[in-house]
Amino acid sequence: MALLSIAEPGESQAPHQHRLAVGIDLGTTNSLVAAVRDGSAQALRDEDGLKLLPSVVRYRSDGPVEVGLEARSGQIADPLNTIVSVKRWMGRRLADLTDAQRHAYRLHDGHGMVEVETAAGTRSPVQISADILKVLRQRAEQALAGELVGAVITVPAYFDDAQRQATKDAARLAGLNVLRLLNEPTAAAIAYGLEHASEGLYAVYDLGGGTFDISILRLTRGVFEVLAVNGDSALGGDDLDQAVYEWILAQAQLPPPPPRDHRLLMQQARQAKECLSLHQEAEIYARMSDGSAVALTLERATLESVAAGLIARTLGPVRRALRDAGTTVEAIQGVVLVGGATRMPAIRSAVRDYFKREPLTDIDPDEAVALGAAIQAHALAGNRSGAGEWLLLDVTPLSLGLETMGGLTERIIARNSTLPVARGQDFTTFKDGQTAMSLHVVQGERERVADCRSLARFELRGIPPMAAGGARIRVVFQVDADGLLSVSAREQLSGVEASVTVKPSFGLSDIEIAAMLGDSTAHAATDASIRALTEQVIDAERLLESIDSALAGDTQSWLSDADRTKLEAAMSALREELRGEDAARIRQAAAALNDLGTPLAARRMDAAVRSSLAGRQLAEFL
Amino acid sequence: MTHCGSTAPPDYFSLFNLEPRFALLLDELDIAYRTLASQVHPDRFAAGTAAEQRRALELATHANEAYRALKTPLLRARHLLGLRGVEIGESGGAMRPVFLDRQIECREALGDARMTRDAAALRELGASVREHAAALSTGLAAQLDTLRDDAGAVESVLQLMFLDKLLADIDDAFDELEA
Repeated sequence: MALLSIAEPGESQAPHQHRLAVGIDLGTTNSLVAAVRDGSAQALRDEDGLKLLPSVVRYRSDGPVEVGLEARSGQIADPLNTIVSVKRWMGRRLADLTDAQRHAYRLHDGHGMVEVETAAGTRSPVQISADILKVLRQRAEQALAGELVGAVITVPAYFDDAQRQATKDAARLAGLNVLRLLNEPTAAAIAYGLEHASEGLYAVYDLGGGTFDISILRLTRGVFEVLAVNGDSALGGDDLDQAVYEWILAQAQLPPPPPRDHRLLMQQARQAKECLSLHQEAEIYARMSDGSAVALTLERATLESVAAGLIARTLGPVRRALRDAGTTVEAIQGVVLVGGATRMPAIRSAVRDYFKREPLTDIDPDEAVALGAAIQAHALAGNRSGAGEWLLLDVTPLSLGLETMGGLTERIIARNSTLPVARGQDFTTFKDGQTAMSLHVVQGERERVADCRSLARFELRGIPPMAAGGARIRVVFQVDADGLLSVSAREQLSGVEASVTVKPSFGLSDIEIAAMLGDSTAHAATDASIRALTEQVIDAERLLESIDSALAGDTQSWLSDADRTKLEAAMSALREELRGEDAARIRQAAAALNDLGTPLAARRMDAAVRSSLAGRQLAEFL
Repeated sequence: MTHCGSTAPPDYFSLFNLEPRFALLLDELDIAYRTLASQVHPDRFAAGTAAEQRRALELATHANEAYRALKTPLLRARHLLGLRGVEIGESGGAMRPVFLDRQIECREALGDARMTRDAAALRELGASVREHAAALSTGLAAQLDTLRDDAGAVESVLQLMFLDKLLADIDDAFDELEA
């Protein structure tokens, strides 16, 4: 299996091979995969030349899983086993869903989130999303003719930790190595900004099938700085379909219909809505299962009055995002529209009225997100960027805090903090002789813990007995560039500590993922070992490359001759192992090299920082 | 990793190679921050070793914290006072009666606007509080940079903290109106 070309020992490294990485927009209604090819991002097509994959999955008792157009056309005949808009269930329990969503399927609460009964058995939203992602992965591997190093998957900026974790699990279950979860509006801004070399303050208004996001960004020569995000992770074009559907029921004076008729009318509602983006009137005609017919005409004005409430609900988040960014409508230089729902004339005019300028729509609102994700995937996979050096500074969408006395939230990291971020807070004991303290980590903007989302609980034990208020417990929250939170607590006098990397309680473990992979693929064992080898080879190659480049720049003699010789010997040893296919031996050789290279890496980084005008003092602080 | 002694706070001004002044040019700060962030952000080391990535995480976190501490007038004044050995607790100190009276008036106006769901009144109140805050900021520049009146600056900072809280509550009232 010649996966990557490895230079012979002693030879200089061959020119960098392009590492295949893709961006995936896993949407409520449609999904896409894109990649950077020949220096520019392109959406990849399926065998029929189509870019959009409807996010619809049909489970059958006796056939393969159907995904996409085929599944979508089967939904009238088989509504209960054909899942649409699964994204709205990610990381959600029954209590989080609307009545309409609850009644369309056989849903119940499962392992931390809802599950649905299908003809092929119980399926979680993670598994259903993984089935969509597998199709996109296959499409990409075919189109790019090679194995993927990894993928950047986009999520609504306003997704909370549970929804993000569920998305990541789905990708892993589909056999994808997740390089990063990227916020959708940020992805669109990257696609737009790199294309136009724009500078200044921009707003990205992203109304998709099931989610609404607003982001305010500052673009400055290659730096995309997200200033604020806001939104509603349960508001989208789907809700408009639902509103039109309810209008149909009311006009035709129908009782709540059976599942087949429900699906048929929902389809009619969506088609009528889409038709009205181009025309003034849309005909609705449906033959119900009892033989009766529904025939109505929906006018654009009627749709717009139905839509008015939904559009109004997007403006509150817009105002809050502007406020958090410390700016005003007048300072915004451009508004980028993203998401299929922004094709509606009523939404375009609402955005135009609010921002007092014509919105930008020259990148296809369906594609912008996937294209931006592909550009970031290309860079994160270690490829030299075609568009020059650029950097993304993203933020935390929601505040993070701890439960304190009385069920109240103590905010530790405020929403819209630039990543990575760390912040500490001191707490103390409230009882005499208290030796343990339990910490409950929550996410959200509300004061009461019950109104926020619970992320994790852990305990700090072994606090020496002291009078109440005597202990000094420092709790530190760290969110890394991936947006992942870790929390540590340390009693300052005794030094006892505890920490947790936050993962929602239902987050799948690696073992569970492996087991599920085993269920779903015939050659799981081989697949897993091939993947393990692939990952080891990629990691090892990166390590060699980074040490090579460090040694090439070693003009200040950070290494003694003896150390240098040892390092070079370890590099040769690793290159030797890479000629074989033994993942464990490669890992060992890489670990040995990594140990020897660590001091060099630290010295090199500090020197790089010192050499910059701004960073002269930085190394001295840490 | 060695921290500075716990008594001496890190000097964020020198991190960005800026004069330790309250009245700084925000453009200069922005440029210095972006230059630094561009060099140390973990994404720059996506293909690097674990050691490089760890280091990048520490450095980038520190740069973000420094930028936050200097970006807004209130935090910048507190940081500058901290460098001069003047600490301000969250609970603050004694306030002038005339300031407190004005605060009570503002709080009453906020309560009324909330009760009557009067967006225009909220906007007006917000504008007047922001104006007051801007005046305090101007005063702080003189107190901290030219007069070196640290005691006066502490009082201004405490007043700004009051106004900040008030502005946050006005924003919350706006959110309530929308809900």
